[in-house]
Amino acid sequence: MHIADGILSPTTQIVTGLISVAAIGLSVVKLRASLEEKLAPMIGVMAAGIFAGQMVNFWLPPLPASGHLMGGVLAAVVLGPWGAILALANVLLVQCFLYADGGPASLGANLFNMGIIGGALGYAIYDPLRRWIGGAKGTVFAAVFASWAILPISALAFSVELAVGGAYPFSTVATSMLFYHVLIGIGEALITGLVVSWIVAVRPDLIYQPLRQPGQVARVSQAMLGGLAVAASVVLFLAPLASGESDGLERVGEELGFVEHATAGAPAPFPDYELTKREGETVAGADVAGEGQPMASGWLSAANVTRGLGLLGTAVTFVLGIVLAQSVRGAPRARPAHAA
Amino acid sequence: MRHEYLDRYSRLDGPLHRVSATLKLLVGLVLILTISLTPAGFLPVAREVPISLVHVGVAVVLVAAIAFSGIPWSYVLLRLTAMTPLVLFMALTVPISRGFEAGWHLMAAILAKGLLSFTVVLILVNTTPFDRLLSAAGRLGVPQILVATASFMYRYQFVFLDELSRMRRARQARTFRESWLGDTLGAARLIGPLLVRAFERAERVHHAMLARGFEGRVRTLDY
Repeated sequence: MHIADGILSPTTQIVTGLISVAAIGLSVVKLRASLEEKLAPMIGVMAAGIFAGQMVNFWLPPLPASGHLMGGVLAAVVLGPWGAILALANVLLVQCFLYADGGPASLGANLFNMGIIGGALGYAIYDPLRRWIGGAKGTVFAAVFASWAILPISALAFSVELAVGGAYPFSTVATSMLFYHVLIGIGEALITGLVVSWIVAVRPDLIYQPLRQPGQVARVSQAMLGGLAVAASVVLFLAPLASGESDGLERVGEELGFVEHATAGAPAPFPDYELTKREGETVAGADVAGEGQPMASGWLSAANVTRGLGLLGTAVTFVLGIVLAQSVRGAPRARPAHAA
Repeated sequence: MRHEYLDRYSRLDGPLHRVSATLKLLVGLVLILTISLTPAGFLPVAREVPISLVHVGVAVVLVAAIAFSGIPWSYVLLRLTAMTPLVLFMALTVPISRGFEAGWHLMAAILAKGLLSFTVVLILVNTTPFDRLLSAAGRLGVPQILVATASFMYRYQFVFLDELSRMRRARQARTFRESWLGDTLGAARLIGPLLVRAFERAERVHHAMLARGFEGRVRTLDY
């Protein structure tokens, strides 16, 4: 998923670059506050270990391709969110400058997709879930869930970044990226789960435990709601940004059939919402400038449909996560059998 | 064991190698930004050639720099040909998804940007040892902890790649049948121990540094 130079628009590069610089600055401040920078050797050496771990290839079952670990969640499980951001920044820096993996001007975008989403957002999913389930089982399950969930999210971020430049239609990129990364995510989750369960069994002290003040009780439900709110706002604000200029979204709508259904049910409110007309336009290939107009001004505009689908997806994922976590949580809570 | 990196010629003694690392880093960053921020365009003299004048200018500068630096041309060309398919794959998707007429000058721009900024990195890394590049970055205001962790990473990745290849060889020597599940479990059984070994080594390094008076600042023989 390393982005080479020239693919992203300058604005995207600058915006993601600024976000990444801010994230690195924040991690430096956070680490400095807790550890006085003495952890530099630890993070650096662990970064090298994660880098070497990425060299282990495994086969992706249905595809004639092999994948490797991205390691964002794994890094966060061991180093915590701030250490993970720094470690992954180092990995990406060395990959860019010494292995030509990812362009130097796209370093910000790469760090955003893999380091910040993989490390920090991954940790934000992993940590509340881990504490909610509790125990070693919780650590492993949360790591598995977070590392699977992170891949489609960073694939989505990648698609949005590509589409904002205008060279690639959002839905085409997003569809194929999401499809492959849900699959790759299964591999990532499997490997992360096995590695984490191995570490839990052998060196449980390596699992990062955030230092907490005595009065500061972890409110898991709040953290989870916060995570849901972040995910929902990302979907709400970023998805239409990309779909506004893309031409493929309507095609997805057509495939799914909801657009036809909408026009059949209510013919009057948006008469310009004609899908047949648009097929000719895309075939002509002259769609660089003219496609930008929003299709319909009604409530069923492309942007709103994207919003709705995105929100639905987020909610489904969230509920699925809770249900899965609950089922895992149920088992180890059984009381020790005194009476027997 | 020898590992192949991009910086094979970084310790030559050419005229460009002697220039201050800070200056080279700054010029490199400016060049990369220029390459990236230049929009796709056409040559003013021959309007059917889809390359902007800025990119041609940068290319001339880079060719001069390579000739001046003493990095072998064969090496540069080999690296560029290895890089081209990666960029080309991404670039080709534009005319495929947009239609050839609308997309082909974008494709040319992606190719030019990708290969040019790769060449800048190639020259930068091959005329400056990586540790000097890092200390130059530190002098330019990059936080100390980032510079320190990056130099530790550069130092220890060799060690862990060696460790990985030893573990892999040991596994191959004991594995008689290959299967997908076994492979995946095997990958996890390589990565887990690798991370624990990395952590244990990190602890040892950290303790050794504390024993020698490390108080949070990495001091190097800066030249």
